[in-house]
Amino acid sequence: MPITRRTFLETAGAALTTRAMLPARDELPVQVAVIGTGARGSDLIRALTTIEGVELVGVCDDYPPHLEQGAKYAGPKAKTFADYRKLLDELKPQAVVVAVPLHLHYRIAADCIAAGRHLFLEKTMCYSIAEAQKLARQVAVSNRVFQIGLQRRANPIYKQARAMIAAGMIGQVTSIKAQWHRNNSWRRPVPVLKTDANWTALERRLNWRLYKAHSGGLMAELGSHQMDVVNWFLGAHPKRVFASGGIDYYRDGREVFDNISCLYEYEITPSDQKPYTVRVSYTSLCNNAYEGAAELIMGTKGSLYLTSAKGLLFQEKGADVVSWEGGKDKAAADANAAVVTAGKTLKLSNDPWAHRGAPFEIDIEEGNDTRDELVSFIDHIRRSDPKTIADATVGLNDCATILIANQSAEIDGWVAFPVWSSRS
Amino acid sequence: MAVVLKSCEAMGTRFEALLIGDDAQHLDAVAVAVIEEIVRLGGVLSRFDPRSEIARVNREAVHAPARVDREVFGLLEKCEEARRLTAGYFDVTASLGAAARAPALRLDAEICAAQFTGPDVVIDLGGVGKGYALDRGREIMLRFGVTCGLLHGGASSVLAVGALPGKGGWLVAVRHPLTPDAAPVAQLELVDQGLSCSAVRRPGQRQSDVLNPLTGRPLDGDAACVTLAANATNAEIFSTALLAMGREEAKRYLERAPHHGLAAGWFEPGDGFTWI
Repeated sequence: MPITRRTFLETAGAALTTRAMLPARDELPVQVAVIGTGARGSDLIRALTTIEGVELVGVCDDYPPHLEQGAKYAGPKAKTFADYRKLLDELKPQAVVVAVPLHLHYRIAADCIAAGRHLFLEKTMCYSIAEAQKLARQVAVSNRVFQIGLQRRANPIYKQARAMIAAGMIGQVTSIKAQWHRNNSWRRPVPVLKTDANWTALERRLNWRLYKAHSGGLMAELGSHQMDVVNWFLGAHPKRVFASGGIDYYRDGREVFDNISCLYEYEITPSDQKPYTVRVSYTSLCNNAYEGAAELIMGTKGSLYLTSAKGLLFQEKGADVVSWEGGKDKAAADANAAVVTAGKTLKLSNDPWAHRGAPFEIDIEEGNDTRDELVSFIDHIRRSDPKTIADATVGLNDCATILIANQSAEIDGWVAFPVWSSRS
Repeated sequence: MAVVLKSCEAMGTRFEALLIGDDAQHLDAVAVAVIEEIVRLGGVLSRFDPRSEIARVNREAVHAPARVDREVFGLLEKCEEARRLTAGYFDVTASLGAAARAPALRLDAEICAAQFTGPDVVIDLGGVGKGYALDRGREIMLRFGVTCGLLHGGASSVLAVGALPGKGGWLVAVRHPLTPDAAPVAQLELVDQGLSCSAVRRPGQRQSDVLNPLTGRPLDGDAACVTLAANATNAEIFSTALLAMGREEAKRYLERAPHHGLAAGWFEPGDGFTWI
């Protein structure tokens, strides 16, 4: 069936009109506390302080320089704590935002839910699949609002891309290629000299991402965002994965891979045709940034190239597609201007990828997705709506998707997705 | 001795961080932290990035007070202080020519909010953002014990941290922006100082895109102004403000209201470089 603009716009409409709900004038602010005030926690604090109807009542970190930084961004009205249990006991905030090293996620999250708090927990949900399952079960019976920090779910470009796929604009999705490539050591500086007696302990603490006891490495810290996009867009979790990784360049004492390549298989079972497999290749590197962080969603009629700041649609040449240039129907093309506008025209004559056609750019980028995901979380608390944009099921599926890749790389073989199996 | 150089694109230009110390691995990690901070601030302060804090404030502060995070609010307060000090010659709301009158920005410190006093107001931190990012970069260097380095943004804002080992400082050659191929007009030695250069025009540009905040009209002439200050934020604020004042007014301003550690040089093609 050819896709008309009308079907597309109807499908995409919801994604285009989402706006933050402002609190009614007589509504009390939502009291929020933040546990973990390092780099990510500070991003979240700064964003929270700009949201109407949020009162930041406390911040907590057991590393004094980070607590000091968090307190500065939070302002003088927020109380400071070194122990998160004291914060929970003393402040009883309505909601808690948690951004701590991965190995601490489960314990702190479980304590927050047990204390009756709504919870925003940074990705990846937990250090182990077993922990994530336990937490998901606890959340399910808690009647609390729970959201995982997968901010692409709040990003207008990704919401639009998903609507475009649902409307059939790129045909049947047959393959996905995603990567997060960067060129730096992923190593954070330590504020004391190497000769200092505390250096080793401080180095492990600040560079927790590099050590297996605290971290799931590149997959948990970077891949979790992008594999969640894949789960979201395909409406499924993977069936199995084969991954290979190693420490091949930064031989500096780290324990997690500095590069990993994964091949995922997703079994798609449409109601109207035979099941088929979508293969997803994912890589993360720390020593070449050429492709950056992006996902390429490939369908029979076109491809979507997505980053947090840019979304491009490449139509396959000769495919049965809507004419967005407006050649045949200028007025209709104008009506679509809010949806897509022409991107930079490629010089097709010498472009080795000329077969993909010239791109159209997804023309919506207002807003910062870290702020938007928090606005959405607060909205769900106000509405007592537990169905957040990245709920415990989404988080659990994402966590398992990531961790089976790490398992595969360890055992050097295919690893199947665990059998509890629920759709994301 | 180890030397590490890292660079990034931010705020529409190229930033570089040159760090010197004993431990290459440590310097590398610190340089990455400096660069990541500059990139982060680019994403916060650029009015051209629709995802930035400033872009959000520009959208929202027209209708009602917009809540601003404490980092950006602190910078806006600093800018407001500079506007008052320079009698309006430094004005982050001047870019559309709308500011040729009363203050266009109202800051509420109680709730950390910003509001525009009229329509068509836009905050543009182009005259302070690079310097601010460099100062934040220096903070990170010092926090991690790196006391020697040179940071710059687009070669127009420079921050020297310490001095080049074995030398009195960091040597910076200044060329007139309109004659980039000619010999440098001055060579300055910086020690723990910020330098900023503002020019009326770039090569090939017919009309200045810098507005005089008091008249709302583009600057004319071919002048450029170089400032030295204790930090890069102040250097950039004052090179912007003094250029808008013009040489004579700038000279009177500096005599009337000397700022600690602030020095300014003036030059026009064919007229050489002089301290004012």
